[in-house]
Amino acid sequence: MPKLSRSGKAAVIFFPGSNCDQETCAFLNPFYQNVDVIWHRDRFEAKSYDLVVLPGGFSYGDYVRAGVCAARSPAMADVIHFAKNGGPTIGICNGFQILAESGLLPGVLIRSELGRFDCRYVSLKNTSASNLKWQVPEQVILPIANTFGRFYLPDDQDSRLWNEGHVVYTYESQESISGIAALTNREGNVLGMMPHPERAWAPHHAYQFGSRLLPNGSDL
Amino acid sequence: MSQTTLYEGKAKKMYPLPADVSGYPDSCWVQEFKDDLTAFNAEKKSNESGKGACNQKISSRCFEFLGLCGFDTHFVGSLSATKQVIQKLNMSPVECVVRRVAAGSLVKRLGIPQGTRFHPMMYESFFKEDALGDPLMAPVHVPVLAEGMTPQHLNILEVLSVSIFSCLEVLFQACELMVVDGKIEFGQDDAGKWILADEISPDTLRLWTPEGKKLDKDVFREDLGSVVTAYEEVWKRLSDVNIEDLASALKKGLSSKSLTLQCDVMPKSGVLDPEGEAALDTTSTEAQISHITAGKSFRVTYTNVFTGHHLKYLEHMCQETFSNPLIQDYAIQLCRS
Repeated sequence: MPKLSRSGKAAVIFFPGSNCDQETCAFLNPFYQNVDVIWHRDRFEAKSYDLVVLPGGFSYGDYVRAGVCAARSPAMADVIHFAKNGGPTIGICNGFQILAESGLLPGVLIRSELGRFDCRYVSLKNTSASNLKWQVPEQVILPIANTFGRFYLPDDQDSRLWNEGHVVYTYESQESISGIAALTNREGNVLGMMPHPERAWAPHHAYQFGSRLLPNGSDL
Repeated sequence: MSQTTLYEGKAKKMYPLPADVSGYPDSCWVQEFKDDLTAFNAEKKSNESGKGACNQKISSRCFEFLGLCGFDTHFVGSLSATKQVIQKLNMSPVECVVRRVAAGSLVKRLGIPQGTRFHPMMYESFFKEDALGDPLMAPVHVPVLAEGMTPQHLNILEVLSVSIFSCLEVLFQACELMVVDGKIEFGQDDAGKWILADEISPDTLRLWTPEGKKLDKDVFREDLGSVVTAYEEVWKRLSDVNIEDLASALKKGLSSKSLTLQCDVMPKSGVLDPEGEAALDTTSTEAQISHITAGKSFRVTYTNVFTGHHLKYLEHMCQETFSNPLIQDYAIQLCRS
């Protein structure tokens, strides 16, 4: 476990249509002294937090494009400023889509290979050459639950991501799912991931890899 | 040294900047306004001393105002009474005609009474070719008439023309003149950006006073007296308007008849389109459909005068929100339904 004592503050941004916010708070609670939920319309003092998380869900009902409306919301202006100044920022599922649409991460998430909602456990492999500022396990099993979960960038730019340490996790050989599952930025402080670590940590969950993906204070 | 004229038209000529003029980029030309008058496709000809100077100052003023309204224009600055410095462009062969009130050739062509008002205003594209008598240009004519242009370009020119005309209506309203109709032209810079060019003057706009007096080239067409007297009247009214104040009022949002633009977003070719494929799956082979592409449309309505600033912001929204340039293309057009 990365953190045994509860210290620091984490913020979870709540958008209309977020549905993993409560689970995400419960997931962060054992590790942070304070976990605050920030309403998307509110500006907030992001720099007073040690971690900002954009939770999963269907912000704005996936209208226009998954994540695009949330990416333009007032609270995101503070998240963008926080992330651009090195603040640890994690986007899970819809949160990853929001990170991509806000420009904090490259690329865009498009419809899954199945062509419909894809919900199952997947096995992920760490590329071990990523820029990510904190240590994550080499191999994890986590659940995914998305329709627009396939990471896309035109080929020429995609290869650059691999060469420049942006790729954190890829899907291990499984049916109808491949490519990038988790991505970081050049500085390694922003992590976007389609799988849900907040659904795999408690004793009653099928797997407990989730909390090992959280940033460890000593790594930052 | 004699100057090389690169282009000479009926009312203007263009040539490179003379050697004694400095301080402008090499990509600039001189546009000189002539005193010549022509009408009815050059069947009627004359000239009147001072007409060129009138048009130069009126046009400069209109271009300055439109620049303040957020439109990209070719106008750089005035050089003398009849000459101005302009940005060199790749001129489009399209004349963009916008009409608020029926007048001129349209009355005969459509058989409607002069003075009929149009809401929304009427837009037409004409292909510039004297030998053909500048024919009306429908989207289907584009690939035949103008190499390198697409019907989509006409949509862009329509949006630009209509918004420019709306701003000109506001400008001339402040002079108590009605803009009946107008012809505007555009060119493209090296990056392909559309830029307002040519001139905006009583040669290219029909301007009526509230009493119905004509202060434009119809004075010449219909032998109503001195052209220069009429054009000087336009200049007198125009020079009294504070264009900075007017443009900043427009930027803040001056109310107007509503205008709706449609932004169509389509997947780029080659990007997987499962929605289109799913729709194709529902069709029977009898329908013989080979491909379906699914996109989205956004209709955006303005109730203020639509300026170049609004258009630029809308383009920004299309690139940043409505479409993701990695996977989608967008196109803006005027919505008339």
